[in-house]
Amino acid sequence: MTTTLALELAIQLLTHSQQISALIANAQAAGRTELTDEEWQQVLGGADEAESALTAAIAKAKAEGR
Amino acid sequence: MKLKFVPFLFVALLLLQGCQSLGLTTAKSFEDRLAYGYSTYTAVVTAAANALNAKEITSDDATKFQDIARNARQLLDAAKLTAGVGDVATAEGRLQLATSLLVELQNYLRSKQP
Repeated sequence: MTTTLALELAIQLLTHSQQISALIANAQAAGRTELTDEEWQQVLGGADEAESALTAAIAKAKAEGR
Repeated sequence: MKLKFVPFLFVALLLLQGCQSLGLTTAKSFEDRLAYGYSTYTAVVTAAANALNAKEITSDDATKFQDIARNARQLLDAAKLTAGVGDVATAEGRLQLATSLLVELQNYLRSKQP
């Protein structure tokens, strides 16, 4: 694994973990053990966006012959 | 230069599911663990897309990665649905399988060395 890729992975893991951490902290502070529908939409929306970005990146790379 | 501690960090985050030492809220329920599972999925997929855009991996690499990633996502979604109907035991099993695939994805990226 290159240094850049390793750092990229670490940054993404920390970034997204912090986002979820904030949601969970809010839920726990409110006495909830479950996320709301809106919070789940946020979580799932992020996953969908990541998938779309990867699909687009693959299409672009193939078009460029990479 | 290879940062060997980074894969360990990734695995630690997956296994502990909320490291207080990093200031992350500890997961206390299945839903919390599932949410962290989704965040790990999002992070790994985003990293792969960025690596491809930076020409660190090929489109063939990314396509193989995407196939495994889709399986992980299906397991996460299945875990969420199963938990929603009250079968938490089955949901836990699916979450564990998804987590294993996420580790495999990280190892796959690690194997792509120049």
